Amino acid sequence: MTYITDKKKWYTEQITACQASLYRLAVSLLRDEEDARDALQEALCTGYEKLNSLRDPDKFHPWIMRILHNAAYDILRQRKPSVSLSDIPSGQEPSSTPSFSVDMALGDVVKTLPEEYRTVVILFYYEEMSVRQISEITGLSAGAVKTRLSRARDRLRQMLDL
Amino acid sequence: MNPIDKRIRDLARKEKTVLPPETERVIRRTLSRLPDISESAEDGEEAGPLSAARSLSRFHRKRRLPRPALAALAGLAVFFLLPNISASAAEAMSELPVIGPIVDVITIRNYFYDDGYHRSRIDIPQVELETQAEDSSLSDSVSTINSDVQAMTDRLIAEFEADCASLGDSAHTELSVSYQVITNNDAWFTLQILVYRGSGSGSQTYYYYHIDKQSGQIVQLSDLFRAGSDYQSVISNEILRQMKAQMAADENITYWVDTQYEGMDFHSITPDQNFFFSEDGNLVIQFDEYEVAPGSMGCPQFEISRSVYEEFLKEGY
Repeated sequence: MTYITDKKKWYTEQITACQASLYRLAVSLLRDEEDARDALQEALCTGYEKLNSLRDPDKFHPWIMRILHNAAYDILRQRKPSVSLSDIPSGQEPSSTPSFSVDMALGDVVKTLPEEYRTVVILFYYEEMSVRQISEITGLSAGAVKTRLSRARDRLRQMLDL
Repeated sequence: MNPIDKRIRDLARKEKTVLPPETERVIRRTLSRLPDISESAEDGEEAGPLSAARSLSRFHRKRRLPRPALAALAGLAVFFLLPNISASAAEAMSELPVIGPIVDVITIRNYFYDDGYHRSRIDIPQVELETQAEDSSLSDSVSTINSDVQAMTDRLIAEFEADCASLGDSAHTELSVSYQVITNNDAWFTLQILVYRGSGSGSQTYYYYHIDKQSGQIVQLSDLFRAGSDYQSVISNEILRQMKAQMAADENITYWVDTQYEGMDFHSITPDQNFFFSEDGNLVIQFDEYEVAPGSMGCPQFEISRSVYEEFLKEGY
């Protein structure tokens, strides 16, 4: 990264180019605008701090997505203990597939998916990333990514009536 | 490609993601506040302080602590010694021809704890005199600061351990103590200690220790000014002016000025108000969280140009 002279300018341009992707991942994962903003801000700062660890500028997009994914998961992890299992009414499967009207936007449907499917869906369908790239971003094995994608695909197919 | 995948990707392509204005604003402001990285930055060199870029984030205040890299230590409170000359002190020392007494700061203890629910990271600094002080008041001041810091960190650790024991896995708590040498030249020494306490929402508190190296004394804000001088009003008015100007320029900025709750409004700094000197030698007044603004504003700082208060300074400052 030493050959880029004005790193702040370069970084700003890169972020601006992919800000919609970043926002989509953050808000889909966190389902809360304020938390998404916090994750974005943290990711932007962390990315800038670690800019020298980006060896190939062409890989900026997956690289910053991984940082954002980690920042969003930190927020999710912080949230988790606040919901006790006893708060979930018995007999209700938290991840059961609700029914939706077919004209619901894909983005809205994605937000209803269980957390473990949301990232892979965003990265695979919206960002059109490969299983290998998704695996690098999420830290999951390629097999685990495929399994999640397959399950998510089934749910989306049902929910969107495809 | 699976035909279902193709159809879902088609749907995704048609869906336009529009950033909410507030999110876009946060991105713009964060980017604009990033520090510059020098052209000659070596590989591995990190960007400068990002506090300004992060300053408005709730997240930042909640999560000052690093990843639980020491999760293996879960359940154990571990102390170990790690002497470490503060980078900022080292920098300050190398840049300035030091004529006055050499004061240095090392980390005497690091305290890490992480059991998955409660985390702490505490760097306990100790001020040291490199040379034997001719003036015993300087060594007294150094001892006072060290015992004060020790007492404070002991108390914080005891509170933290009591919280861990009483809360168990029913809640999360975080404690971090970090420090920075703000000034260390031949005339002046300032040590800043930042304490972050979190459970649910977090709060930050700054502590400043100043030594006037000429007199060897620990100094508070009022000691800089002549007795009876009106420095408080003059500096407070300048802070009010800056607060109003910032609020007029950015609707996201709020200070407690002219609110409908009179008791909440900022009117004046105190004689022992937190402060330090900027690199330009100007006074910077530091407020704690919620002291003059909502928590979303963090811990506000106001740099006051020397010309504003110069006439009230004691000789030698």
